[in-house]
Amino acid sequence: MTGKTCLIVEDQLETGSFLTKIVKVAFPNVATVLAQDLKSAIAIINDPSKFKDAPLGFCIIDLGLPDGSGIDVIRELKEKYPDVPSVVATIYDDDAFLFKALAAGAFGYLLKADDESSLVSTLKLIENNNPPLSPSIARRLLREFRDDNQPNKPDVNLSPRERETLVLIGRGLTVNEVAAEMKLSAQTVAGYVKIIYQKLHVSNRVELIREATRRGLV
Amino acid sequence: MKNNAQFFSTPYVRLAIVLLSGTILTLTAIYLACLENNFSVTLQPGMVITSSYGEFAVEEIDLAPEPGDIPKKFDYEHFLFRQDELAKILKADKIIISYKSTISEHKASVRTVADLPALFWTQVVVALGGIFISGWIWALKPKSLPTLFFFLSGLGMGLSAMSSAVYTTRLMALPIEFFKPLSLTNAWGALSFGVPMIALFLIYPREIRRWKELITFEILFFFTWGLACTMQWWGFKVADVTVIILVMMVVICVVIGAQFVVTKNDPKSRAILLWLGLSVIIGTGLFVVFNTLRVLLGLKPLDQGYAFLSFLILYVGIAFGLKQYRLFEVGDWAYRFLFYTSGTLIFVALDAILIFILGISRVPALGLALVAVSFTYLPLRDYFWRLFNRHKELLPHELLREALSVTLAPSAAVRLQRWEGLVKKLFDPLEMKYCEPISKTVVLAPDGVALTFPAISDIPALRIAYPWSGRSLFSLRAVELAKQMIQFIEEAESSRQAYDRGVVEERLRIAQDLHDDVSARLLTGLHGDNSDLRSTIQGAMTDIRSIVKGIAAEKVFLNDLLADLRSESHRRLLAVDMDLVWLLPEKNTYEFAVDYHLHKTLGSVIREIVSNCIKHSNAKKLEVEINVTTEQIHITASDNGQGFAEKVFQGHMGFGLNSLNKRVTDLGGTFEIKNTPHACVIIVLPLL
Repeated sequence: MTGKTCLIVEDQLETGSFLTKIVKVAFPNVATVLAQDLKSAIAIINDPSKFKDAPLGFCIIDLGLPDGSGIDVIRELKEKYPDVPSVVATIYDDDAFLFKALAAGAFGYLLKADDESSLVSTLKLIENNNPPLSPSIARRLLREFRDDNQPNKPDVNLSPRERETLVLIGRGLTVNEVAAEMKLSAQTVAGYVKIIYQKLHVSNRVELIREATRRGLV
Repeated sequence: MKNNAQFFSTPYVRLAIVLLSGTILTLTAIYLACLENNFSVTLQPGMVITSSYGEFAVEEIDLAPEPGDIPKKFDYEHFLFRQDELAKILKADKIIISYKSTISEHKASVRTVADLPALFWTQVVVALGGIFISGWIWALKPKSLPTLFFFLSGLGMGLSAMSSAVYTTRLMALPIEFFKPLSLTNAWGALSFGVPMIALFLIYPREIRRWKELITFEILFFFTWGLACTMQWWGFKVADVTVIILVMMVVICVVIGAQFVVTKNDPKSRAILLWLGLSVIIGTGLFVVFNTLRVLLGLKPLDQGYAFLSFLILYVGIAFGLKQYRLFEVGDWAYRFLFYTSGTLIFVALDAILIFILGISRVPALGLALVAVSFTYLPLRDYFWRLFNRHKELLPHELLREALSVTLAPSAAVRLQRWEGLVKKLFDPLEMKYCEPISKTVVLAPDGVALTFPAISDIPALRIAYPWSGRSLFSLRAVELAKQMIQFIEEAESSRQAYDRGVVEERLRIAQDLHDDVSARLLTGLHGDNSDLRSTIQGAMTDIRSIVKGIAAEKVFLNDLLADLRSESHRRLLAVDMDLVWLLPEKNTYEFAVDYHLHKTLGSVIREIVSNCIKHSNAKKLEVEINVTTEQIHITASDNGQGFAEKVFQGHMGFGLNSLNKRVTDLGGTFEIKNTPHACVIIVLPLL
């Protein structure tokens, strides 16, 4: 992460500087850019000169922006920088929009009310490809993947192992406990979680395209 | 062949056959009765009748109207023989009677229909009444065993009364070739009344255990006995048929008693039994009391002809009960059928009268008959129809009010209750059953017995049968009424849903504002410098989350709530390097929704315990144990730290513990803290 830029999109100034502080603690050599609304966030993403010295490494995005939803920022990022992970900054992990944001391409989330230490460790985990997954999101994911099993698209179906991971997390187990239960390493289970996030993104794209086709947009 | 079968399968044809049989029987009876020469003489004992064929001295025995009533075996044959002898003498054109020293000469005249006495007609009417009423019911339901038994018994009674009509009203004597068959027909008719009647009560209204065996036995028993009497085997006498009738009466009463026991928990069958049983017991009972019993006791019986009238009570009673009690389940269809049949008969009769008696030519006669029937009979029919079908109707505004009260019921259970109440009020059906929906609209069964409502919002489809306590069928008007009601309810329902949507949207908006705006504002406080406020703000934010869930009426399952709380506690303790030991329940253990208050309290309890532990305990580990019974949730939390400060036990619990205590006790739970010497909190919350 060293030598890269972190884009923070947050409309509340105190929270914005708090998040900036967290990023600095987690990754001392990362530059930060703060955007306070949707319009300026999109403008920054579309301005290559902003990342000339330090390329865009990751983004922290608040969903409730004064001029729109942070989900649009996530979509724009997915379009322009598909490999740059975006992280949602949310107050509650069962927020109505959090799941939509995760489906739109976000790779994990931060709980803004958490203590500084726990936020720093979460950020580090995300950077290590170990995104957090709360029980309520796990259950929501299970519902998401339950109904539309598509035999032709194995890349959007969950494997039995991935499904079991979701079930156990949904019951309140931690990643370590899930690993013990499934007799796997914590690293493997964390890998499953990562794959599940990716499948959610793919599934969401498939869904978007299907919907667009249905409406005659494509 | 197939056409034939279809032809006989209509009730009208079957009834026509019954009517025809009755008519033929009546004509035969009239013909036989009119064969006798009429000398206008009343027989007296002591008369001596002389004609060119011989001489006959009249005795007391010759006056007996019913030979079956003669008690001595020898006397039955003797009586018939004497009758035959007298009948031969009476064949002459002229007889001479010497009585109490006067001699008179009498000339024979032909006995005409007009000469037949009231007693004759009484018995013919009784016979026809029995045959027609039972035949009418059988014609409607020919394949049902009870109606067949009922018809057979009616036919038996009819034959018995019809034959009795001929010989009990004879002028003086009948030849043996008529008298004996008539007398036997009378006896066997009586048997053929009783045997099917017993069989009927063995299977109707409810089948009595082993009814097949009982019916077979009953038939064999009475017919053997009857045969023994009429053939005068083994010393049995014809007069013993009276004993058989009495025994049958007793058996009928016993079987009705058995039905009374069998129908104990079935009010519908009990009502049928009471009416049908009462009709039969009164009808046959009167006959037995006035006739049979008196014969057996050696008293002079009431004239058999009049005693037969009691049978008419039986059949007319049953005819009246058909509608009220749905006897044999023919209900008012039977009446409608009867109305149309009698309409046709009156029409044909009028037509015939106009042609043959008034001598009007055919076409105008037909027209006149038609006019007469339509102007007099049909309105009369309608009047009776209305008389039978009287029931209170709801006015449109009342209907609307009822529909609204169904729609606006506070809960699904109350709604179902009100819906059932409304259907009962409108149609008073004997049967109501929820079923699979068969259509999106009201469906009337082809026979008019049942009506099926479609499913309306959360009310399942409903099938109702036998409206107005089974007094009539569903008319097209009833279908219209049902449709109108459904429409009212659906309209009211959609308005209510729109209203509910508005309420839900408003609640969600409030929830959203609380969630986003208030929480975000609190968050800025959190990220400010004042670290004293941190936990207070965090507590406030978790409260907001619970409140929002409550406002948005989100259903939360206990399992999921515990999973979320465990995960959250884990994350918080992990950030300060503490362990959490919290065994989760087996999968699917607590798959039930918790209400808002419990949800909020449970969340606050766990969060407060974790916060306290982090702040004050100096512990390295927190253990949480949660047990759920059907009535309570038991929470035990203990750490390995320094325990509660002494002042906590002296009433200085501090804000966090105080509010915890209050919340738990508000819900009707118990709150207990102790040092073991480590801190331990035991909380019991009631599940409602």
